[in-house]
Amino acid sequence: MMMNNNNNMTDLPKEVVRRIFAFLGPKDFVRTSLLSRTWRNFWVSAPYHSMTTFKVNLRHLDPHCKGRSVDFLKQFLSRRRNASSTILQSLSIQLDSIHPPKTLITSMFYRPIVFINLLDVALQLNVRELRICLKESGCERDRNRSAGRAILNSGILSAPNLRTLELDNVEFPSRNTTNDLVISCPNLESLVLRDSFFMGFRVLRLCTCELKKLEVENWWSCELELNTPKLSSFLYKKDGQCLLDCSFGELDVLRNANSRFDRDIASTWLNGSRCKLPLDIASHARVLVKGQFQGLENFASSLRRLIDSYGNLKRSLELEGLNNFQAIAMLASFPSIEVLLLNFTHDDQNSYSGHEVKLELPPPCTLYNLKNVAARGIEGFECEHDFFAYLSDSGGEFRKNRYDGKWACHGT
Amino acid sequence: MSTKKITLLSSDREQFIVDEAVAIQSQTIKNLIEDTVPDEDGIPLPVVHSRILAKVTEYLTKHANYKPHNDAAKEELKNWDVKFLGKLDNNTLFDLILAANYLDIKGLLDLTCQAVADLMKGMSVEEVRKLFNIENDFTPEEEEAVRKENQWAFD
Repeated sequence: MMMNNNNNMTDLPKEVVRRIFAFLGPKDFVRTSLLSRTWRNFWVSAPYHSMTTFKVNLRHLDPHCKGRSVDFLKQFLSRRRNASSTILQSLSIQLDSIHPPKTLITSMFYRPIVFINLLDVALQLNVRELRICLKESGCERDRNRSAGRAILNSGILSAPNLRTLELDNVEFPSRNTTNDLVISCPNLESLVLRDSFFMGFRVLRLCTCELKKLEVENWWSCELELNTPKLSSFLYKKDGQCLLDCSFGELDVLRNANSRFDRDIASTWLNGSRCKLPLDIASHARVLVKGQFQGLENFASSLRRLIDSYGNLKRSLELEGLNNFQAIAMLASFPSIEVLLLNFTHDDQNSYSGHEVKLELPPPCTLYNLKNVAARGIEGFECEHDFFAYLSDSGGEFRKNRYDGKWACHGT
Repeated sequence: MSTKKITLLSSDREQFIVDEAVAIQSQTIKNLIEDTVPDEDGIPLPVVHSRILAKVTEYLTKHANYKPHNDAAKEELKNWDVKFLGKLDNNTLFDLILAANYLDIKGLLDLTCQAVADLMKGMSVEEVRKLFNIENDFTPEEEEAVRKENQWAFD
């Protein structure tokens, strides 16, 4: 190994030194320009790791809206852009004081200029990733107080280069012009809405044809409508009992839905055009399907694809409020179902009353893995027997039947 | 999981016997295993001294197949990395970077590069030059011009 005689340190090849510099803080990174002629313009065009986590803490900004870090950021970013180098990848705006002084909150509220200024910078420089986190950890959030009220430039909502948008604890005051707020960034691939409010809007509409990953945490506000044909991952988290209403423009592309909430609260509803599908996949225990279905076949195949993507999902299906025909059409789409829970509800408004439904059984499907069937609400209607006959004709071997008081079991 | 052993040979011909799964975290070693007929004594790594290879294998053994499933495990691994780095003097750190670069071990390279970047925090320009053996070839006028140009960053 080559040794340097002066200080006894190993000489590192330039490519390695470049790599090291990429990990420097932004100020030290710019300072490398002072090292020598070779390094003078290095920082302007070099790949820069720390850029992916460039953070501006609003707490440290000058209260007179001329925050130094904003100026620094502007310079830093525009210089790097002028050199036609990698454009700004990521900007993270944070307010993470543990006990924010009241003055800070009010200054944020009354003078959102700094904030808007930052967003303008982000927009002008074609930021790829934008994270806005106005956290007030340590104090109970008061929903009526406009702590982190942010006025998003409408430009952000349709920024052409934005790939990732994360909004944490951000509120959007209604502009009284429309009921709908539309996010339509054409290249947006990942959207995280955490503790964010969209007050005064009826619908937050996502018209983002490239969106692949959606994460929603603690949603209180308006309806959420998804027109996201490429969505492949949907994560919903909550700590309380909240409802999430979503419409999937094209449900059949949803490949990975993960809702994180208490097992017993199946309160998340994905509204298809004419169906409702609550997901409780986090428990990996069941998929609950209920409601009235029309156009069922399409829906069932969508659902199957959804379930197929979960290798470790115990293939169990709970059917509720379905008539036999619907249930069978559904089952035909789940040939590998192992556990079937049936809930025959005898709702007068439901067309299912046992007698009226004229069954047109589809050709038997092979339920070669069906091991366990449990049903409740059996009242001895003929069509119920037909249904079980169909199940056993389809190859179901019910080796175990469950009875837990609520569930009347029925085997072959 | 294969428990096939691989013998690595440092520049001073010291043998290091590790599991294959440990060794192939280095892209270079992986290629060597695939593409070359092994030496009788092991796979020769002529630019890595035993003092450094011992560190490299220590790191690789810890990280082999270690896929932390929860935050606690991630935290533990992170703490281990910090401890691992803490024991190194600057010279060893630089040698380790070279080894990680040569052996193509991304995790170790990033870890060590980050460590040097952290080391540079608060260093004067002159100290940085000394650290990397960079010769200042600016004329005083040029240096002043650069200083002026980037004044916004130096306050």
